[in-house]
Amino acid sequence: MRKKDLTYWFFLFPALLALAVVVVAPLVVGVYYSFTDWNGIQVKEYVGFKHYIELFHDKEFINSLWFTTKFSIVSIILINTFGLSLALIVTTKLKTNKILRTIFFMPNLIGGLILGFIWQFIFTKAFASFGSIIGSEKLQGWLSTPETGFWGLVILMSWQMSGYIMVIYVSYLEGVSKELVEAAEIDGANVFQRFWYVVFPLVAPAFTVSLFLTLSNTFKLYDQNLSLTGGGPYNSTQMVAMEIFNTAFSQYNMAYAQAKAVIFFIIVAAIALLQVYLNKKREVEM
Amino acid sequence: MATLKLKGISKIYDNKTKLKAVSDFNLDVEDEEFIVFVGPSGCGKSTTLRMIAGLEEISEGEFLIDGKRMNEVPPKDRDIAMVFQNYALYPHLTVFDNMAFGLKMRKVPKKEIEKRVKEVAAILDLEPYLNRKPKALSGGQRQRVALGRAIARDAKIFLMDEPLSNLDSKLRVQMRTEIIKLHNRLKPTTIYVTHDQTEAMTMATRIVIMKDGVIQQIGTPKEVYDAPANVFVGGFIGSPAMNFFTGVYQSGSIQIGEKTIPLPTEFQSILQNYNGEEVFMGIRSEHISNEKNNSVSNDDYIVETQIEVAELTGAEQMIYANLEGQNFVGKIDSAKTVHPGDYINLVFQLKYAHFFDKKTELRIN
Repeated sequence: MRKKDLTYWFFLFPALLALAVVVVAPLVVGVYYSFTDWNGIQVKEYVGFKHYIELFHDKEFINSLWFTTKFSIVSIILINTFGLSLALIVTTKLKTNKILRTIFFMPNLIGGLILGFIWQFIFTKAFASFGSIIGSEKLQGWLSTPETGFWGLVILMSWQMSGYIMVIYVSYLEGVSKELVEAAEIDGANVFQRFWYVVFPLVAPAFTVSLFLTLSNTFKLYDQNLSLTGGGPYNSTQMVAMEIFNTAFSQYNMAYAQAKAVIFFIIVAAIALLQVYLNKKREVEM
Repeated sequence: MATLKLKGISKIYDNKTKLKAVSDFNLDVEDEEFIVFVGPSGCGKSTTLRMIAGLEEISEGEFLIDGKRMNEVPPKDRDIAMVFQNYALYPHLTVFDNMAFGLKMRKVPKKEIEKRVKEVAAILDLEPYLNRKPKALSGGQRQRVALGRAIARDAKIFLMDEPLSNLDSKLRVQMRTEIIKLHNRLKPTTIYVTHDQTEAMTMATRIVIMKDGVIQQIGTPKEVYDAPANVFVGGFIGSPAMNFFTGVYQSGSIQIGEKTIPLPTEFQSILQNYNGEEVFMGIRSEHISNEKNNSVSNDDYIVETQIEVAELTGAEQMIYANLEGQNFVGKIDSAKTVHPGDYINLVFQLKYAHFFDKKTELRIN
């Protein structure tokens, strides 16, 4: 009924227009280009599934996809663990609660590129100096091997996003009635049991939001990747977003890059939808 | 099953201001007693209950269960069960699991848990709902689950924090009876917090009346009703509230405005130290009624007043009027038809009057 309302469409129009112009149209055009030999300026001919067949044999793309997946899995686990832990800390009766929340959230206020450079300094210079003081080989030469590059990215991402995810968990944790926790306390549950049997199931909806946010943020990561490792060494820490960017703007292989982007989109959309569906299913309706 | 002893318990929230939410609370609770803490909101009754539960630290004083100091003992080791105002049912667990939760935490064998929960469910008529989640239950059913959770635990002491305040009035009366029946059957030592004086009067073996963190009076419902310790208790217990008149006592009578009211002789010795001083005279509305045949005694005082408002409550009518400018409420039987503006003779049964010191507001005995 309301949809027939003129005012309804009137107010919805600007948002719909913006969505159509900057999201839907480019997506549709992009899908179209991926089936052509588009070079960034013009389309000469239709090439069908050529690019799609090609990219499944493209080692670099497959590697970047695998690297991104690994990175996402590890990051999602760490970010959510840290985020929830931080949230638990700042929802206790600590006097420094407000300050701590601000401090934990602050990394988000720094842009990804700058963060990458700051951490590059920490990993390469600070780690090395500290390592030579305590005499540890393990702290030398960070970001110069695929492993340290991987963990460097994971640490950077966790450090940046945990505070953000914390905010989401905080809002859900504060929504858990104090009476319930007290009832469990009187029922004989210890701190761990109170968390596991009472608080945890009730903040389950927060996982939907948080997992989706961390997943989309880690999977399409670009700027931190660029500034911290630049994809090196030997493209071993190159993530999908960067791989696609390089295909398009370093190799000027526009149509091929489009095809990769479409595959990338499908993967992210599929995972996200599946994950939202699964989480919704076990959420507790209050 | 258990006795409780509260010795000089105080609660101080802010160490700078030293403001006491509860101040010097002393109470001995006998085994199987049903104690009701009653008072207006913010009087410290819930805080006291929470200190007994162990959810709130005791700032000063000592709390003992069966003679053992409990101040430092965590809630789970005090062997108490508590019913919360908002039920505090675990929304993600079924009725069965809600009631079994405390037993599971205490590592009771599964078979035993099932047996106990089923027994309790039978007592509370909850058997058909065992597999439901709390949100699929009505308010009264949720309340019963909350009670069931406490009962299943088989704890020594029951604490109830305004458990009926979220129910509608009909259900509240029904649950009130159910709780009394349960208490008679299981006989746990119970402390019940409410702001509703009717609940306090109907349920308690003893009532603790509180105001501003201080105990005003402890006594059986009859004691606090018949002999309120001060003006506050007199006004708080009983509905409608006790009427208070300010007057000057003068050798056997009380002077209220222009009127000199002779008092029954028994008050002369009680009030002998107050000659010429202002006192409060309290009298309940059921002791201010219309003239009935042959029912007027020598101790009664008859006054003609104009009715301001008459409220029919069923068997009785409340008459709002004033005596020398001081408002009061009387009760007359509903057989007599009256209208606002009518003049009526009201009988003050003065032998039921209470006298309070004007300054201290304490009862004059």
